[in-house]
Amino acid sequence: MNQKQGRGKVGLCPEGMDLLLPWHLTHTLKKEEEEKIKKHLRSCSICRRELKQIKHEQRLYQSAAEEIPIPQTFPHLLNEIEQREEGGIWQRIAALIPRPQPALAATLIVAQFLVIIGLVTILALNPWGAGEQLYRTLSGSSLVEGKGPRISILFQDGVQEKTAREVILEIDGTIVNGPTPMGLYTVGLRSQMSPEELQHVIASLRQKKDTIRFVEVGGE
Amino acid sequence: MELIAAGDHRAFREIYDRYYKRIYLYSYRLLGEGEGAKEVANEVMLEVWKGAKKFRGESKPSTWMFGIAVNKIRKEIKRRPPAHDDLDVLETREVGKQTRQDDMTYHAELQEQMRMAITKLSPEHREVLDLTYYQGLSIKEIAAIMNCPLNTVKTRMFYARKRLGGILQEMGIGGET
Repeated sequence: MNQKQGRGKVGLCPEGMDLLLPWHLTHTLKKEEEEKIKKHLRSCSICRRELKQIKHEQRLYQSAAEEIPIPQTFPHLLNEIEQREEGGIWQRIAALIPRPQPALAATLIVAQFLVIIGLVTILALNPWGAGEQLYRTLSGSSLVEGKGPRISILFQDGVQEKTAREVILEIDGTIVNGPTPMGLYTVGLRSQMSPEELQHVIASLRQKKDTIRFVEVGGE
Repeated sequence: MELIAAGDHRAFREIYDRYYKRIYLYSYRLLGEGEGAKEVANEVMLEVWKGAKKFRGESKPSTWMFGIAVNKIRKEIKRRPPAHDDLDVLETREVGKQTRQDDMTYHAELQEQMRMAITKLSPEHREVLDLTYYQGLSIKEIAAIMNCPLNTVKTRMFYARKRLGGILQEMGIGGET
């Protein structure tokens, strides 16, 4: 490239018009600049030579660029857009919250959320043992505690309380605990019952398959 | 842009067809081979989809999109380790003497040399050369994209050409053919 050092200013042409030549070539100069440069080119050999050089450069530049293969990414882009729009679980939850919220409304939503979390936590921890007390019977452990052996009985589904009590009465037992939420009774038997007698009671209960689903020695 | 903001995929396709190639090639010439150019071009398109609502028409869509591309490319260049572009390692094949007999080979060679020369330029010089020679943008548009005054665009282009000319001369293809 033919170059000459400028005299303290940028460009080769004394009037600095060569700085505009690249855009003269691409027809993107303002109308008045365009007219000025056309006029200038008639009298400036430096700019004429420079313009020729710029044309050559531009041609080379463009031809070099055309050789590059262009990837086809539109389907991939659409997929990505869909994925971003669907978002993750938190984005979906966030999308359910209407925005923008006034400060008071937002505070109330947060407060409600905290109350719900608090209630769920309390119920899960069950500090008062609420469930257990509901299922505990009046024939509590105090009546027979420490006397005879205990057995656990699980009655068949649909067996009425009355029938269950009759069965327990037949074996001379007393309800110590139950029915639990799962329907399990702990029954205390009379004291001084020999192991043979206990086995006999168990065997007789196990024969009542239409009433009793499960029976075994031991219990709360 | 309004249609894109409303989620119209066909309008988005139209913008993609019109600008993707230009932005990809622009990114390619600044970032070189690899996935970088594709990623930048894709990200620009995604920004267009996401940001179409924000586009107020104060500039041309191309100016807006190239502005996004320039920022992304600059970030990518900063992120990359510096390249070893020592001029001494440039191939200085005597293209003129050896290959003139075969025009096709000669032009292919020229193009390859030009590509190599472009990679030796600084990102700022590549930006201004590309936006002018390939994208055909005005000084005002380039100034908006590069976020600099009009005179900076003119002088930067001058120095970019000077540098490119120097590199091409070292490669033996300096003059106009």
